Amino acid sequence: MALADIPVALIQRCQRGEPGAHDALFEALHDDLYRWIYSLVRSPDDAEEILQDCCVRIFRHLERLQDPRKFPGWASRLVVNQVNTWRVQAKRRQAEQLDETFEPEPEHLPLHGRAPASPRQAASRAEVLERVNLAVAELPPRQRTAVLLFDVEGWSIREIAESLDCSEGAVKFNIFQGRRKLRSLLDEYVSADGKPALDLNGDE
Amino acid sequence: MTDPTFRDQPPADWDARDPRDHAVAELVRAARDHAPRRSPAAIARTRAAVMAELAADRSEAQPSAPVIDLGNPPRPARGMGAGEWLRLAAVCAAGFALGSLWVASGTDTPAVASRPGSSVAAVSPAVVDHSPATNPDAASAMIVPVSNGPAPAARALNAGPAFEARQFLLLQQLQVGALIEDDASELGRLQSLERNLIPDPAAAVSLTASERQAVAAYREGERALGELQAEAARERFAAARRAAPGTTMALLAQLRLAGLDVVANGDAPAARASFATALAEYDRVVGAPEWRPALAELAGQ
Repeated sequence: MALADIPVALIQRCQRGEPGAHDALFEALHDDLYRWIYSLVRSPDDAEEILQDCCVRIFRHLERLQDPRKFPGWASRLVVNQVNTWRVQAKRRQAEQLDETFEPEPEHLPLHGRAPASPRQAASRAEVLERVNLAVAELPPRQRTAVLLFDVEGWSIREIAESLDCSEGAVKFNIFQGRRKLRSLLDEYVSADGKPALDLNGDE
Repeated sequence: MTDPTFRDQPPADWDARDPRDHAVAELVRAARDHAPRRSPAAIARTRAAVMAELAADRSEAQPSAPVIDLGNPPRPARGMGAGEWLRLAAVCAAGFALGSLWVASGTDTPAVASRPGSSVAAVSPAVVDHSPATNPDAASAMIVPVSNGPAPAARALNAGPAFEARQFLLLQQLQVGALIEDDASELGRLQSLERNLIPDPAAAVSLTASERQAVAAYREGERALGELQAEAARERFAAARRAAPGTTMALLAQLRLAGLDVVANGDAPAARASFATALAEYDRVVGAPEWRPALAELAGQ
């Protein structure tokens, strides 16, 4: 269930500490939240770990949310902040490991050589989407977050700027750059008239 | 080298999308939902980890929260005698001092009872649902319903032994000063009740000079506590304890001091030790063998 669809009554039950309410809220939000976090970090293990941290923080601070109707925006900011925190920590860990043998993480893997020879004809929907995921992973973290929050999650420029702690101009710049790079990386999956080269409504 | 992603001057046409951008955005949206499927075991692990952290939060928040089932309320139908008032107030004060007991009255009671992890002494039985089946909080709450109307108060003063009546009056000070401080309307009602029943409290039960001194010191302690002057409160409670040793007022002052220790230092063991001293005093003065196990549990012993 998307954050925006979580019933206000369920939030209120959690705020009152009703038995079973936290379980119900976890059940309602974990799947969509995981997919969103995964889209930002591109690592299943890290996404699971961040999801856990996010849920704990959401549940822990839910009592302070004065207007339960504002839960979707409040929780979204919390998720993005948690992802940012994870990135800072990951960068620190990476710096500490620089002297050791560096194994590139999935998001650092080059795209070259992984695409099917003729994707439009040969690739299944799942393969194409996997390629899109890899392309998104190629973006620098700020560009990726800005593009995903703006084009996929529908956040405003101001909301993104507040969450990323940067200027609105920087957000626009990152969206501009991120889109340009994605267009280049995914060019072969987009037809000249601006349509995706696969049926997005079809089954996998 | 400057990280280009930190530039904050986008081109003027930053949002002028190439037609292909829409298709790319559609692909990215579809890919978002294409996250790897998680196994039920992974979901269960995450859920368990989240719930375990929440449970740890709760237990940390209430390191000494007692869970006491006092069983059937003591004779609620015909009100309470002074001895029961003493016991109730002592238990309330003990929990209050340890920061693990919320005391409520009137219509506030259900709201207070629903506070997670709170133990509750309810003084208005009509508004409390005591059934664990319909009120899950009741299972972990200390619910001691009593009637606090004029009948038991009058009975305590008129029929009780002189000693108990005097102790009751001392407890009235506590009740007005501390136990009902959550509830302004209830406080006003009790003060009015007190004025009507006891026009001259000191004369009615012939408090000794030292007891009056203890009451005054205790009230000053409460006032200082209300003004967040912890040191002054500590001094006044200590004075109350010294002024009337061997009385319930000394016990209550001791409990307040224990509470201050918890608030000031987070020192629950010290507060428990202090509370144990108070319990011994209470048992010596009043005697409450049937409540000793529950009181000892409250003390964390």
